[in-house]
Parts: sequence; structure tokens; C-alpha cells
Amino acid sequence: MGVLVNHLKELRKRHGLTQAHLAEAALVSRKTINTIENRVFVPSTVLALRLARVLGVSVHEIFELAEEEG
Amino acid sequence: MTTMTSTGFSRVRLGVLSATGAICLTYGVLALAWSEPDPIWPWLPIIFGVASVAIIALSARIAGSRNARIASDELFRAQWRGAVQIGYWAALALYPIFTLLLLNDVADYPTSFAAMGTLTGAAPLLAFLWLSLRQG
Repeated sequence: MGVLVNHLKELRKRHGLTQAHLAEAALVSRKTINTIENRVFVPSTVLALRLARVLGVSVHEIFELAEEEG
Repeated sequence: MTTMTSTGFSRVRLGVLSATGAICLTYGVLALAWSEPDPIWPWLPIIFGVASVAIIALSARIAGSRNARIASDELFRAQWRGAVQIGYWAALALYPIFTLLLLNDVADYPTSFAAMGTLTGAAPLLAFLWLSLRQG
């Protein structure tokens, strides 16, 4: 089926943004960004698209499905 | 000009909801422990509840609609939904628990009514606190 992998932290840092800056731009709380990066919270499609727009990347560059082992 | 950030508003909201949950839990536990339907001033839980609504509404106004919207984002909504789900099952669980207490004369009907009501109120509020702290 696949495991959700996200590269949000890596992309955010590459763009020189803090969690607070990214949160402000995406109109969510810093806590939301933190929980997404820590894989505690899976964002909605709308939020994923908003994050992609803020970072200037495609959603697939942020989120991908990795195959499960075994 | 706003004087409260979205984080500040979130903290105020969590604080007043948790305080109301704690008062309701205290009331319910004391009612059972003392076999009294009114162990402390019976208007206290509802005053805390109404005050919470007023404080949250005022804080949202001070924070401004943008910050209030940010503080009420999808993570908040997911956590609140989770809290309400926990509250639903807790409320259901109270029935068999209090049935046993009544059948074994551990509690009487007036005390059970008071305790069940306040514990039902406490459950989603304290569940929200737990989910908020657990999920960072």
C-alpha cells in the first residue's frame, strides 16, 4: 500500500524559512507545521497544495508514498 | 491593530477549556467521594463554561480574524474532533459504571446525576488538553 513520506522540513530549510514563517504564509499555526514535519499529522489536500505553492514546488516533491518493506 | 498572536489565542483557548474541564472533573469526583450532589457551589461548572465561551470570543476579537483563523486551522479541528469522539465514548461508559455504583449502593440517584453530568462535560475538554499536549 505504501507509507507516507514527507520532505517538508528539508524543503523548508532549503528555502531559508522557519516553521513560523512557513506557517504564516500557509495560514496555519506553527504547531501544525511542526506536527506535519514530525509525521504526527497528515495535512489535507488543500493544505498540501498551499504548502507546495508557498515553497514553489509540486506536492509530489513534498509528499510521496514509499513502498512498505516485506 | 491586533495585540494577540494566533499562538496567544490558542493558549488562552486551551487554558480556559482546560480549567473548565478541571472544575467539572473536580465536581464529579467530589460528588462521588462525598456522596453529595452539590459538593461545591453547583453553579461553578456552568459559570466556568460560560466564562470560557466569553473569554474565547473576546480573545478571538482581540487577535483579529486572521490570527483566530490560523489558530483554528485543520490541526485544531482534528484535535477537537478527536476530543469529542473520546468524550462520546466516555459519556457512554459512564452509564454501566454508574449502574454498578447504584446497584451496589455506592452512589444514590441525585449524586449520580450530578457526577455523570459534570464528568460528561469534563471528558472532551480534558481529552482536548491531552491531545494538544501529546501532539506538540
